[in-house]
Amino acid sequence: MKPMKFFIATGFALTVLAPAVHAETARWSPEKANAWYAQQRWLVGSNYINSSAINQLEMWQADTFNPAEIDRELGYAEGIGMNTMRVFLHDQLWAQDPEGFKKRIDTFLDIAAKHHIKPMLVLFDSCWDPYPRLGTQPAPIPGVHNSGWVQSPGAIGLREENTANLKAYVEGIVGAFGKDERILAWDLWNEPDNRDGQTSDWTHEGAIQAKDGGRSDQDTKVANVDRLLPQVFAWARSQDPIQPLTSGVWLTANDWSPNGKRSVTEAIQLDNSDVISFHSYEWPEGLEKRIKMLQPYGRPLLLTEYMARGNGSTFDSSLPLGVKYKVAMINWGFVLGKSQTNMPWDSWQRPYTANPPTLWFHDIFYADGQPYRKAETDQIRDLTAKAAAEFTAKSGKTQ
Amino acid sequence: MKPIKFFLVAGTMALALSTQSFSPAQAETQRWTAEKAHVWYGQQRWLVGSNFMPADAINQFEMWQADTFNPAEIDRELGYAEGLGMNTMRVFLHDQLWAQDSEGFKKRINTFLEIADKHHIRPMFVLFDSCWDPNPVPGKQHPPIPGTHNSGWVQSPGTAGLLDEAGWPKYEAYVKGIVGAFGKDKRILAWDVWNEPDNGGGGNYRQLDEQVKIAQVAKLLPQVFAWTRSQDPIQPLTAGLWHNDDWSPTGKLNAVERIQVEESDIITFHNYDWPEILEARIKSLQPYGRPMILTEYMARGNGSTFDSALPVAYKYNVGVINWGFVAGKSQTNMPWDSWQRPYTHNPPTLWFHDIFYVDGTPYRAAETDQIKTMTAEAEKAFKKRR
Repeated sequence: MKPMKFFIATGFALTVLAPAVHAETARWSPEKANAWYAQQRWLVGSNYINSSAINQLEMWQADTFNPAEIDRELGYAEGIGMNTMRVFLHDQLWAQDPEGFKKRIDTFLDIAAKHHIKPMLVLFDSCWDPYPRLGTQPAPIPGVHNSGWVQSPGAIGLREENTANLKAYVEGIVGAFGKDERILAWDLWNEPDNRDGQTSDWTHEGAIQAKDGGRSDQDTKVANVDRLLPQVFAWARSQDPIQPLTSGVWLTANDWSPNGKRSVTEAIQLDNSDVISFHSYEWPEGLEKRIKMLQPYGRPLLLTEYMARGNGSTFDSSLPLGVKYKVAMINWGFVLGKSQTNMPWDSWQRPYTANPPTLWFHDIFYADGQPYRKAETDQIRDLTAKAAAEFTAKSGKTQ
Repeated sequence: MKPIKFFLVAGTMALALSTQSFSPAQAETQRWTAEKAHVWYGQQRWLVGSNFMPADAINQFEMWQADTFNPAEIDRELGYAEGLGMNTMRVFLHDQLWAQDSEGFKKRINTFLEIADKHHIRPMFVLFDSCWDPNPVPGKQHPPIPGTHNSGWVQSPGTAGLLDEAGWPKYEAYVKGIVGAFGKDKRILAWDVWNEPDNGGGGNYRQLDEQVKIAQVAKLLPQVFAWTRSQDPIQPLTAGLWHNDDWSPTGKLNAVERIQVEESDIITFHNYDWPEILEARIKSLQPYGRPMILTEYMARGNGSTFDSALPVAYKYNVGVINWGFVAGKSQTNMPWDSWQRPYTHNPPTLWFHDIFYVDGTPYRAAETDQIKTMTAEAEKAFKKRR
């Protein structure tokens, strides 16, 4: 979702055991997870936000929720044989209007099911704007990558006094949809230990409200995440969902293997996930290395973010590795829209206003359904068709 | 050191004179037949190399002028190339180097060829170039513009030279002098007589009006081919296509492109695009029925990678010469858009071109591994064939 920045690991204790997690129901055994995975056709999809939404709030709030557009765009996904989409929710949407939010999620799931797509829903996210605010969302910053995306819960929501609200959100959503066959999985927290995303805008309304001068302290952030994440797993499990839980590792400077120097956050993620998910925006040899690092966990592997053309991560080279190692493949970016994720990461430092970027960084389709690069949609369609044929031959099922 | 070889060409020329009528665009000796070109190509192992400029040179002048010519650097860097199994390098000369000091220039070219030969590399020499700075001035060269791609590269002959038709005999002397001196030299692979001849120039320079440039090049290029052929070189001649949509024999070629495809013994072309476009380009050129060499490719941030391009080229038996070898003063690891947006605060997300750091460490080991593996495979196939 974001460029990895190397940072000094100050106060960042390595090789610490994960705190004991007291889930009401147990983590899936590897056998159960693998049996679940065997019932899925090869999973291929995108991280999805409809093109007229700049962020999670604009996607889901009543005023701007756009079923017609979602229907059209998920039609593009179905057309290339995708069978999942990774979709971000937000805790404040629950706080704002739990019944309405559930209704809109239900509408979304109906549309997705019509297109034979089972989404993976993401509950929290540590990326980009740390001060999410409900209501009308800002317009995109010209030429800038994902300029309106918001964290959940964000700098203020992470504070200890807000814990009960987060619990209500998780239990409410997973309680409502934990037995819903239309959903593939729960990704509980996107890049939880992502330290980027603080705003430097001291006049930001949220920053003023937070009284922290616009810079939420990143060590405090990760400490709060490490406190909350085991609880989030436990709250989700308390609803006894039929779907697997996961939270993906993404810091490619680290060694994710069972004997590797995992951070506290990574240990929580990897030791609580029913299925292992991870991000890689690297050259194919980097992706392959990541896969091999995670294979010893003996659980299904889901690559939940990849594909940054200007960073060496392409469909061309990644998808064959997904086939080879039976890894689910969910790229960043679907339809080019207000999130502007066709702009490179470095657009935050250097907005692409005078000239477009040399390549689209993420994203597959123009809003009208034309592919950015036909060779890619052809490749995805061919590989998913092959996977569907194999799956049908093996299981007798079509999806 | 081997002495520079000079060859008597008068006899051949006389023969040519007696058997052919002249027009400015006509060579004294004939364009190779497709058969001759294929026989020649059949004698080459799969051609793999880079466009080469030593790391400490910003442009052709700094590479070749007496003060800055650096055989030790060239030797070290061509060693990296040999280590990858490369067997050619595309190297740019300049008309003003000839005008400045023809004997010294020939001597330095000979030194370069000695070094290359030691590393089993047969370079393709480029005589003229329409890219970047249109006002080449020999002597001390300026330092690189920070964060900017190829910020000191110079055109040959450049705007003034192209416009001054009365001065074109200078170029005749240059071409005949160089090709006369090295046209029978087995250490050389081929002559690329003009790089991207109809390129407007690029960069932030004040360039010659594009239509005027194309018209002037269209006048001069046939003469360059003819002057080259007049020396009866043992190496094939070429000038590569690089833009416009349709290069096929039935395509809409401009005047310059028409000359390029009609005068080239072997077909060369550039492609910095996704592999499916590279493949389409190859197919559009196949009807010419001549050996093909991709003389520029590989721009990581533009979808052209070793990963995808090398297998396509190998499949179609196309030689491959990527842009950029060692990251140096030409700064071609910076993207093209660095001319608009210099990468001064942050480096580019990916190196745009180039393979090695100056100390010989690869930018990306997977690439050098791939090149090594594929050239070794080609070597085996070549030995078996012979």
